[in-house]
Amino acid sequence: MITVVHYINQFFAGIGGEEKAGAPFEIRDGPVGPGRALQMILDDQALITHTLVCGDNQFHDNRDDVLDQLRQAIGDLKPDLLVAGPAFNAGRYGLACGAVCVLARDTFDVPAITGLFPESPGAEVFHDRVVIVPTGSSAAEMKTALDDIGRIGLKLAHGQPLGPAEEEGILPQGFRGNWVEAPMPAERAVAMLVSKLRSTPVPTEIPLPAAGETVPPAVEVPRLANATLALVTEGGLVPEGNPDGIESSSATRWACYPLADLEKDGGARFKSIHAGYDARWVNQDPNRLVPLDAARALVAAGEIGEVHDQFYVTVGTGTSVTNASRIGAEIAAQLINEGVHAAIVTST
Amino acid sequence: MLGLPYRLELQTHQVDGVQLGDETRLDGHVLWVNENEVQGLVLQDPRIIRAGLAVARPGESVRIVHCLDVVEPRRKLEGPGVVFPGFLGGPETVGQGVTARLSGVGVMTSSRFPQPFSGLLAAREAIVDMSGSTAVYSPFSQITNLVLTLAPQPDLDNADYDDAVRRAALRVANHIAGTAMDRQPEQVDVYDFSDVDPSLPKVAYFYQAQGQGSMADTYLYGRTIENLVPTLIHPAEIMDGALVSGVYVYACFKNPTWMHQNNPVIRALRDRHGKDINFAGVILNRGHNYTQMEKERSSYWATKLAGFMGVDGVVLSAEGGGNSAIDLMLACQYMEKAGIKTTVLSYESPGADGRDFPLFFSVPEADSIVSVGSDEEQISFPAVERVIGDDRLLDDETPSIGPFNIRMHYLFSALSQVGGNQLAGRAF
Amino acid sequence: MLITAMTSMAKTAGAVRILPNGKIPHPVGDPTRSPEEELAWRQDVLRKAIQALEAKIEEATIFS
Repeated sequence: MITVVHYINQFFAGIGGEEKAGAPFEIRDGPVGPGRALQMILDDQALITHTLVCGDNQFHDNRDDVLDQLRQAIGDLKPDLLVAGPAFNAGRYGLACGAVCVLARDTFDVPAITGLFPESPGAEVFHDRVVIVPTGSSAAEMKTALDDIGRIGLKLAHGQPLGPAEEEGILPQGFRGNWVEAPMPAERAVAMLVSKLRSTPVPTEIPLPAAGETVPPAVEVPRLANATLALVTEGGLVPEGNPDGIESSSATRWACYPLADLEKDGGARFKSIHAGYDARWVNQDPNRLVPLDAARALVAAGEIGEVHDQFYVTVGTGTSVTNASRIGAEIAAQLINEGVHAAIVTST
Repeated sequence: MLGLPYRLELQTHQVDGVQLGDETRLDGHVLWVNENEVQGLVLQDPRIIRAGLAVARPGESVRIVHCLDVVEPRRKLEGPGVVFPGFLGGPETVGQGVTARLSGVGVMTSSRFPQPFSGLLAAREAIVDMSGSTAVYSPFSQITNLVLTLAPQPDLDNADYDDAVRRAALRVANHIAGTAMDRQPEQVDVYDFSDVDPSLPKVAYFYQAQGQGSMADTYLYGRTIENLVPTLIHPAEIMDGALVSGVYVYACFKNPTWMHQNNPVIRALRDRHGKDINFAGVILNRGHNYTQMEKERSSYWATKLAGFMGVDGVVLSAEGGGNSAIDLMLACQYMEKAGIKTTVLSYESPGADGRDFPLFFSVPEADSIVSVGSDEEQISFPAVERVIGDDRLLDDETPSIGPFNIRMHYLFSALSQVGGNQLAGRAF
Repeated sequence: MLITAMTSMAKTAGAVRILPNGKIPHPVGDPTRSPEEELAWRQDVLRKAIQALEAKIEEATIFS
C-alpha cells in the first residue's frame, strides 16, 4: 500500500486563521481537512497515514527548528509520497510547501508534490526544484487541484518518470530532455511552415533566448607597448598526456602552462585534445592556435610590453554556457592577480 | 535523356520479413536472401577479405555495432540511368521513369577500418538496438537490417576501404531490389511537381549535407561535395540515389544513404503538393564551411536560388553538429530577411542537467524550429541476447553485449536532422 | 579580445572585441604560406589585435 504524508497549514487543519499562524508543528493521524478529499480521490491506491501541520508564521519565524521537526517526522514515517498544500496563491504557505517538498526529496529521496498558483512566490522560488501542479488563485479550485495532485502524485510514488511539463500538467521545471513524439519531426516541420504561411503560426518547439545581458566592453588598454599581454585559447592545446584532464568536449576545467614549455622542440610536447575541429594544422605548428612566435617578435620590436609567461587553455566544443562563463571569470581573475593588462583569446 | 515534365514513379514492394535461404526472391511480403550469393557479390572486390551476413529484426534483442551505412534496395525499371549514379553506372541524370524499392528492409554495413584514426575525421562507434527502451535511439530499429559484417585487407588505407564498403552496399542493395521485377507493387508514388496551383504557396526544401573530407563526406552522383555552392536538384533524383552517404564522424547526426533515399521532408512536402503547397524543389547545400565568409557566401547563394524559384517558404535541415548549425541558421536568417518564411529542423544540446540554452547558435529570425531531439550525455544500454558486428566496441574494452553507458554521439542517426526519427526535445 | 573564424557565433556569445581571422581549425594560422611568410602574416594579425585592444568602444565591435 502506497503511504502518503500530507503537509498543511493552521487554516486547513481547522485551527484558525491568520491569528493562529503561530501554531506549533504537530503530527496528526490520518487525513485532515483537504486531506480527506484527497484520500477519497486516492481511493484504495494510497493511504494518507499522517498529516503534518504547522502555522505559516511559525514555519518562517522558526524555520530551522521546524525543518528539524519535519526531518524527524519524515525520517520516522518514511512515506512513499509527500503532498504539501495545495497553497494556491498564499505567499508564506506556498513557500513553506516548497521547502517541505525539497526536504523530503533531497534528504530522504521521498517524491514530493504540491499545488501552487503559477504567479505565487512559492512557484517562482521552487519551480525548478519541486513538482508543482499549477492551480487557480484560490481554494475555490480545491477539487481540481487535488485531482491533479492525486493523479501525478501516484505516478511519482510508483517511481514512474514524468513526461514533458505540458503533457503531465505541471509547471515546467526548467530543463529539457527527450520525449518520444509522433508524428516525426519532418512532418511537424512541414506542418509548422504551412501554418506560418497561412499566418496562423504554431508555437516553435525551441524558443529563442531572451535577449541576454551583454557584458559591457572593458576599458581599452592605453598602449600595448607598455602592457602585459596573455594568450588564452579554447582550442584544447595541452601537454602530452593531458595532465590536468581537460575534457575533449563539454569541458568543466581549464589549465595554464608555461610558454617556455610550448616553445621547446617547436611545440612538439603539446597536442590538441579538442573533439570539435580538425587539429592537424595546429598539431603541426601550435603557433597557429597560440600565436607565441608572433607575440615574441612584437615584444622584441617594442610593440608589446611583455607576454605573460603562462598561456591558458580550455575546450569550447559542447561546453555549456554556464561552465564557459565560470571558466572565463576564473581565468580573468587569475590574470588580474598576476598583473596582466590584456588578453588575446583564440577560438576554433 | 531528359524528358519534361520531370516524372518518376516510385513503386513500393513491401517487405514484412527477411529470411536467409536457397534463393534470393520475394515471396509475398517475405524477402528470402541467398547468403552465398550476397557474399560472392561483396567479395568481388578484393579489398574486402571477409563478408558475413546477419539479419536484425525489429523487436529482437539484438544490437548492431560499428554501423557504417544503410542502403534501401532500389533499382531502375524504366528510364535513363541507374540508381546510385556515379557508382553503379555513369553520371546520367536520374529521377525519371520507374524505380522499384523494397520497403521495410535495409542493407547495412558494419566494419572496423584497417588503419588507426587520429583527429576529427575518424569513423567512431555507431550502435543500433533493435528492441527495448534503447530502440528509440535509432530509426533503424524500425526496419529489418540485412547486415553485411565486413573485414578489410589489412594494409589498405581507410579511404580506399571506405570506397570498397560503400560500393559493396550499393551493389547488394541494387541486386536485392531485382526481386521486385515482374511483380505488382503495393503502392506507387509519383514524383511530378510540374502542376503548379497558383492559389497555393510555393515551398522549397533547403537540404544541407556534410562534406568535410574522408569519413565525413556525402556523394552527389558519385563525387564528393566539398566545393559545392548551393545547387538545385529534383526530389526524384534523390529517390534514385543521387545522394550517397559516407559520414561516420558522429553517428547521432548522420543521414545514412537510406535516410537520403527516404528523406522524410521530401516525403512530407510531396504528400502536401497540390493540397496545401506547391513543392517547388530542393536546394542542396554543403555545410561546415570553414570561414565566416564562406558560410555567408553559401547562405546568400541559397537565398538567391530560393528567390529565383519564387518561393514563399522554405524548410531547412542540416547534417552535423554545431559548425553546420551556423551555416543552417545563417541561411534561415538571409531567407527571412528576403521575405521568405522559414521553418528549421534542429537538434538540441541543453547540457548534462538539461538547463543550458539548447541551441549551439541561433538567429533572431529563427522563430519556427522543430526539435529532432536532445543530445543526452549518458544513456544506459542494457545487456542484449545477440550482438552483430563485434564482441567489443571500438574502445577495444567494452563488451558489445552490454550493459554499458554511452553518449548519444555514438547512436546511429539518433538525432538525424532530416527529421526521420522518433524523438523531440521537450521542456520538463 | 577574441580572434576567431566564426564571427556570428562570437557576437551571439557576447564577445565584445572580435577580430575575424583564419579558418576554424587554425584561427591564427595560414598553412598555405611558407613558414617565414606565415610568421610575418601572424605578426600583422597580432597588430590588428593590438588595435582592437587599444580601441575605445561602447558595444560589441567586429574589427578587421
